[in-house]
This record gives sequence, structure tokens and C-alpha cells, in this order.
Amino acid sequence: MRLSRRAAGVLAQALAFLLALWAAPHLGWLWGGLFPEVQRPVWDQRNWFALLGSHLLLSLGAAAVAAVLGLAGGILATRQSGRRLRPLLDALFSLAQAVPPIAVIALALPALGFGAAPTLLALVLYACLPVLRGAVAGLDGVPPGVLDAARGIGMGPWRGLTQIEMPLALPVVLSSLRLAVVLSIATAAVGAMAGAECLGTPIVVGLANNNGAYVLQGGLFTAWLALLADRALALLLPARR
Amino acid sequence: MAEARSRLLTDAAATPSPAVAIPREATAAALLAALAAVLPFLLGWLSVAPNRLVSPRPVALPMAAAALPLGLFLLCCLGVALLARRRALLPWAEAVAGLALLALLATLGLGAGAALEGASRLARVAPGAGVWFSALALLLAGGCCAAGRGRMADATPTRFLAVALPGLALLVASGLLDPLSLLKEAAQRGPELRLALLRHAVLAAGALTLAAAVAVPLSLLALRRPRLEAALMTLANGLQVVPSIALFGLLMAPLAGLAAMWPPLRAAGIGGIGAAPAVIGIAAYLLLPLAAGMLAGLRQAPPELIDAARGQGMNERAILRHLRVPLGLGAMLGGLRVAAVQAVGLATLAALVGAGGLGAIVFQGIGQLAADLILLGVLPVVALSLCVDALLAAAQRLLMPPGTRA
Repeated sequence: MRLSRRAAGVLAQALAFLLALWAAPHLGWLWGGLFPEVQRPVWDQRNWFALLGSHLLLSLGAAAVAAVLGLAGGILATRQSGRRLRPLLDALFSLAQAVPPIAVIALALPALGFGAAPTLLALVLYACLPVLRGAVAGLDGVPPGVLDAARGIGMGPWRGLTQIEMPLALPVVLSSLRLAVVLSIATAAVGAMAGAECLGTPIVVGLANNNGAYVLQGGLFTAWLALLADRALALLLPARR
Repeated sequence: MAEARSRLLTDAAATPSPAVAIPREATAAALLAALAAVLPFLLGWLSVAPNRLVSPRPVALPMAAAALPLGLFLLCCLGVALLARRRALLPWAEAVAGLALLALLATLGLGAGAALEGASRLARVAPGAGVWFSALALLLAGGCCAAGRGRMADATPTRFLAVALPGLALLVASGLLDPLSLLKEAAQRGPELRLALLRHAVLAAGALTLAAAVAVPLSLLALRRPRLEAALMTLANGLQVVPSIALFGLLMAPLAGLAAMWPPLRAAGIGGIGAAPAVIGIAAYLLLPLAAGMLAGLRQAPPELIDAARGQGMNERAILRHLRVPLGLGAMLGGLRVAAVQAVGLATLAALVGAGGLGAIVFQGIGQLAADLILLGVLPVVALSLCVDALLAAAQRLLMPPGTRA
């Protein structure tokens, strides 16, 4: 009951977002009024829905790849034979904190060229880390006694993993997946710097041409989409308290 | 906190190893050291372009010219793998990994000099892909060795950096690396680079100060006001979701409006373009780590202890000064550390709103698709944030009372 009410709320917000996206090109008076000195205040270089589509494709695609890689890595690192990988993961996490995503995009640029590829690489790398961390934390959190009991009733490693460990680790893993998706939606906007088409494009174009109206429109929709995704994915998690 | 607890659990599971047992860091460190030694040979040491415009092609390393540092490099890689097999020697393995990086760079410099002999003055030589990946593997090997230190599973390679960074400065000062195109680019842009680095540090420090000025008093107030705490954390969490590039952009319009309405602001240099939106934007993202670290730190002191202090007649101010702050210093510094590292990274995007910093060089490089220029901007950012991380990690270790490490 409560879940369906929350879901309806998110749905209403999503509709409002799409409506605003549709209305944006028709609101010339608003953008013009806010930025009287800008000559062409209405973003019309590219359709908003096309930008939304490529933004979602980029970020959700990266998040999906990252989810597979992160889960596989997390499962590997929590097996008895994979425990030696743990220091490597610690080192990776600590390094990734020191290198901002824009640095990875910029470094990949000469090798991969302009467009979506460097952004996709950076997004996969950065979305991987929370999933990996969540999977390791979730699987580590399974009480050893439960695992012993599973072994005791004759469950093999595979069944133990799929029927005992994963279900118990699921809340932590899901919340890390939510973080990964939101993170990659937010970071995808930076990809506009490297020529990836997304909702960040109007921001970058506006900054380059000193057009505050473009920046405002791009910033508004990028931030809105990220907040919307955060709310929507919260539905997957059990309600707090 | 759940994370810290899980780390403790895993460490507890792994520590019963007696002194003679090979530490679990050994495998990863040896693997990475082997990769570091092999990758330059597989993926290329050097790439040479006849001039700046032609794309470079890989060339073989002139072995004779660089035999000495090459031997040292391979020896160091072997040393990392061997030293990491004893827990007590892990710090040494970490330092030797730093030494290996220096030997790698010396090999590169000597090799590049030899490769350029007889070539035209326009020829440019850059490190091959193998060298970059090797350097990355060494950095990670250092991190692995650092992860084995103490109970804080904390993989900041402090010793690696303590060896590698001064050594790197020496190598650059000695002119050994001068043949590399990156150094040529740096020499051309020396003053610009120094200014950008300084400005980058000032932007990050300014944002950190602003965020601390907001987060510290609010956390102190929120300590015993659950409603305020919930509001503070909701705000700080919500801000994290907003993409940085969007936030910087969104701040430009209101700040420009404010400056237009109120000329003294404009006179003070605050406006829609420049440092103001960048510093405010960066500070917004630092609220979460700072406030979370502060609150966790303030709650570090056990309630019984605080009750006892109250019973003795200590007032809240004295409890704060003598109990909460000293006992929570570690957690507070942890939050400060995360925030400081984020500030350095986020300041890269400050160039977008005309605030300058190293990001300006990066974006210039992106615009020209000039790899050297991009590296010239990115490498100092990475070095700066690694340094900040390592320094604050060291401070955290020094200042934390032994009983409160978690």
C-alpha cells in the first residue's frame, strides 16, 4: 500500500519532468525574461528528448556493465580462494578516490577519440566501485553460522551462493546499485566535455558561448533527472523504519 | 560505519596468521610487480613522432643507453615481490615500489634521449602505453603493501609517495627527463602551470574552509537536535546527487543576478563567472563528508564516559573540549580527508565557470586533443590529491589515540 503510493509519487514526478522537457522550447518568454542580454535564449540545437535518450543510454548502459563486473568481482573477492584479491581492491578504491572522473575522461580522450567512448569507460570504472564495495560488504555481512548450516544440510558452493548468500546480501547490494546508477547519471553530464551527447551538452555549449540560458536549462534538467532517478531507485529498497 | 565494521570483521578473519605466514598482500603485490616489469616490454616503452602533428609510432627502447636504470627497475620489481612476503617488510616493499617507479622514469628519460639522437629537432618522444600501465601497476602495488599496515584497511601508499615524489622532483631537476615531450610542453608553459597549480590549491582550500565554516557549527548544533541533524543530512545527501557541472552552471545565474543588484559584491570580485560559483559549488559537495565525519567523531566518546563527566560537574563546553574532540579526532580527520581529496578533484571542473586552476589546462588540452597538454593538467591534479590524502592519512594515524582506531 505504502509502496504503491510512493511509486505513484515518483511516477507523477517523472511525468512532470517529461512535461517540462517538452515545454522547455516553448518557454521563450521565461528564458528570455531571465536572461535579457542573451540573444537566443531557447535551446534548439538538439531535441531535448534525444538528449535525454542518449543520456539514459550512456549512463544506464555503463551502470549495467558495471553491475555485472562489480558483482562478479565482489563474489570472487569473497570466496576463500579470492581473498588474496582484497588488498588489490583496497588499493583500487583508494586510488579511484584520488582521481576525479573528468581526469579519466580526459586521459582516455587521446586514445579513444571524441564522443561517447571515453565517457563510457569512465562511467563503467566509477560505477563499478560502489557495486564492488557493496557486494563485498553484503557478502561479508552474511553470518558464518548461516553458511555453516547451509553446508551442513548439503548445499554446494553454488547453491549456497545463490540461495543463501545473495538473498541475505541483497539489501546492501541493491543500495550500492542505486548509488552506481545515480552516480553514473550524474557523471554522464561531465561527458559532454568530451563530446558525448547528453543533457550536459547544453551546459557545455552555454558555457562556451556565454549563454546563461542554455546553462540554466541544461543544469536544471540534468539535476532533475539525477534526483528523479534517486527517488525512483529508492522504491527498490525496503522503506526505512 | 557499517563499512568500517565489515572491514574490521574481514581483518579479524585474516589476522590469525602467525608471524611466519605469508601475508595476504603478497599475492597481489607480486602480481602487480610482475605486471609492472613486463608491461613496458609488451606494450611499448617509447613512441616517437617526427613532429607535433603526426601521430606517434612505437619504437624499441635503446637498451644500451638505459641499461643501468633498466636493471635497477627490474631488480626493484623483483624486490617488491620478495619483500611483500614478510608482513614486517611490507613498508619496505611499498618504498621499493616507489623506487621502481623512479627507475622506470630514469630508463624512460635515458631511452628517450638516445632515441632522439640524430632525429630532427621537431621530433617528439613520449612514454609508450606500457610505461603508463607499468606506473599504474606500481602505484597499486604500493597501495596493496600499504593495505597490509595496521588494522585500518587503508590503502593510501604514503611511503610510496614519500619516495616517489621527492625522487621525481630530483629527476626533473636533473634534466634527465627533458627529452620527453611532456617536459618540453611543461617548460614552455612553466609560469602558466605554476599559476594554475597555485590557483587550484587556493580554490580547493577556499571551498574546504567555506564548507567547514558551515558544517562544523551545524554539526555541533545538530549533535543533540535530531530534527536539525535529519535536515542537515538530507540536504548534504541531496546535494551529492546533483551533477557537479549542473550545480556550477545553476549557481552562475543567481550569483550574476546578486552581483548586478548589489554592486559591492561585484567590487569584491563575486559574480556569475569566476571563483565564486566554483568555490560555493565545490563546498556544497564537501558538506556531506565533513558533517558526517564531525557527527561520527562527536559521538565517538562512550555515553557512560560523558555521564561520568557530567556527574563530576563538567559543563558541555568542557565535555566537548576534553572528551568529545580528543576521542573523535580520528573520525573527524577521516571526514576532512575525504572532503579535501574531493575538493582537489572537483576544483578541476572549476575552470568550466572561468575560475581557472589546473582544469583550465586540461580543457585546453581537450579542445586541442593534445595528449601532452591533458597530461600536464591531469598529472598534477592526481599528484596533489594523492599528497593531500597521504598527508591527512598520516595525520590521522598520528593523532588518533591508540584505543580508538576502527
